[in-house]
Amino acid sequence: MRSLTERALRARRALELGCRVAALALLGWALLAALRTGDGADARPRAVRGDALARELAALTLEREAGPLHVELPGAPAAAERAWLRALARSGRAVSWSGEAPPTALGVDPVAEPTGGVVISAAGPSGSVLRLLDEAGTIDSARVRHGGIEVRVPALEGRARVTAGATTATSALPDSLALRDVVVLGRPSWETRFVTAALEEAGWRVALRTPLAPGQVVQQGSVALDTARVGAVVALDSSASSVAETVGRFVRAGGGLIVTAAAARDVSALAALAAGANGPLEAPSLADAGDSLTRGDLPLVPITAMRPDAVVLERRDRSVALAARRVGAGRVAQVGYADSWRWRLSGGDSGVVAHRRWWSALVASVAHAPAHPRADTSAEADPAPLAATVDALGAARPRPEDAARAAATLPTPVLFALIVLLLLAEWLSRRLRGAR
Amino acid sequence: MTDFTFATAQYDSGDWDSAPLVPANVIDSLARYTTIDVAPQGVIVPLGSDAIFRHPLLYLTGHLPVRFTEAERRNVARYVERGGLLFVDDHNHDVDGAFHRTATEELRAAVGPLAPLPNDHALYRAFFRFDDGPPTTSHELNGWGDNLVHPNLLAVQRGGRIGVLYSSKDYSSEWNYHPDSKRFMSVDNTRFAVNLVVYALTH
Repeated sequence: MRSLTERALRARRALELGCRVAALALLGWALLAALRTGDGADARPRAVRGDALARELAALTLEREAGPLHVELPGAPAAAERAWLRALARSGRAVSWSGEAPPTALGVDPVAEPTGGVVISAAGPSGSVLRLLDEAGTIDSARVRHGGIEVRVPALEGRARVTAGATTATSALPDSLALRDVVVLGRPSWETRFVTAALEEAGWRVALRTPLAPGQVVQQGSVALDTARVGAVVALDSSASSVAETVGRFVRAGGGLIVTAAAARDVSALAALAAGANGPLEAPSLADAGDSLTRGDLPLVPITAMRPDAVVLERRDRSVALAARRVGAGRVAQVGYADSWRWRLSGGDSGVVAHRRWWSALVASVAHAPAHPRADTSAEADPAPLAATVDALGAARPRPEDAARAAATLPTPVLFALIVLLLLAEWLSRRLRGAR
Repeated sequence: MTDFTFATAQYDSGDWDSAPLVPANVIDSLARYTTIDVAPQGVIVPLGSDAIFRHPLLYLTGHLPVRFTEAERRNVARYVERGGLLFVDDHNHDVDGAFHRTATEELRAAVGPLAPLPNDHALYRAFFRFDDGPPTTSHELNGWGDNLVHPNLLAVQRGGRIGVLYSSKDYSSEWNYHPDSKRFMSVDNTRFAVNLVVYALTH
């Protein structure tokens, strides 16, 4: 019994000693870390803030003692500054950077329609506000919801830019497209009449080939199918049968083709190019729509048995209404809607414009329209500044002294509380057993 | 794909059904000369209803004064703006007559003034060739009505296309007979109707 009490007392004294030693050790470590942080400035990387970067780059380049350089950037640096920093890094100087540059990217694609225009696609973090500009000023701004935004503008003045915070992405000048004619193959019908009208009103130069009587085919404009002159063919019905083989060669050479359900049904050579097969006709009552008929109210021959390389472009409920595929160097779109002219005539006051835009965009989506690149301005473009910065300088990293401090020290309040607790425990233990 | 259907406009005032045999005669000519898919019977559509937008070519005739209702006037304006072609023929063949004065006034109010259509217009080459412009009718040559041979048709055009075609030549009388009677004619006088339909379907 006595020996047990002595053993407990010895353990208690050892614990008290441990507390005292631990407290002193922590105190010594904190002192050492503070001394290390306060070491000479020569060993610390040179820190430059991004807003002073442009001014300091020349001085940095001419410094005799080329120590490590760390740049604090409010956003991704401009292309010229980035190139300068990369040159410094390549010259042997350790260059690192930190900052909150949002991942931003910008693409500009010309629209292959006579009305021209460009589609600006900008990516940014969800929740951020992107501001689109060109050299004439602000175009639009929007909050990102699903990774990016897309805006179609009728014209672009110079380059497009998108800003997110302090980061700016800049596009190259969009290419200019050489638009070709459109050839419409159709029997004399309201569909032929109004598809032709819609395309002409949209600015396309349209040549029409229509058989009027046995042995009598009327041609308005030249319908010789050659990708040097013709961008796309619209085959509306069986009247395309006499030139179907030529159409096939035209598509494989890079031309575009739009095939309606009637053409796919009646012309086997065109069915072979189409995205799929014709399903059973779905014909809602047009009278129900009155004067507010939409594309969704049109008769539909759904596209079924899709080819493996076909993509669905539009659905109505579960039925495929529009699909496309590549054939050789060309593109083929298959349209399931029938009698689209009803949309124009019975579509209310907006029907004419909606019908026109839809057909024009459809033709543009397949038309052969070779790009005429502008003079090489790619060096001035900066479409993805963060990616380019990471490529040039590596990923962002904390300032070296911050990293060292974070690794070497516990937060001061925690350290202080720990030392006090250890000393208090040791003192209480001693006093409670009667020692001084 | 829908077949072409010959549609006659029914308006509230006047005698819109004064030439009931014209549709069958025109349909017969289309089937006779062309490969156009044509419905075997014509239809009658109220000018003030949405049904006119299902027929991009409308035939309107009569002898009596024409006074459009507000709905008819609005529909005619929309019809032309959307690309429809309204063919109006004066069954009186009389520029001083009640139909001509009132119909042209109503059309002016709905879609603007009528202007002479040049006789080298594509309409006259759409299927048959009419090098001298609109074919004369027996009523013109007989001196009935205003005793004039009208050198031109009148038209309102939209975007280079005819939106309203107006005739004082009285084709309604000229074509208002049973199609079987064509066999007694040396030249089919409905050939211009074929041009009109082909033009509407292709321009």
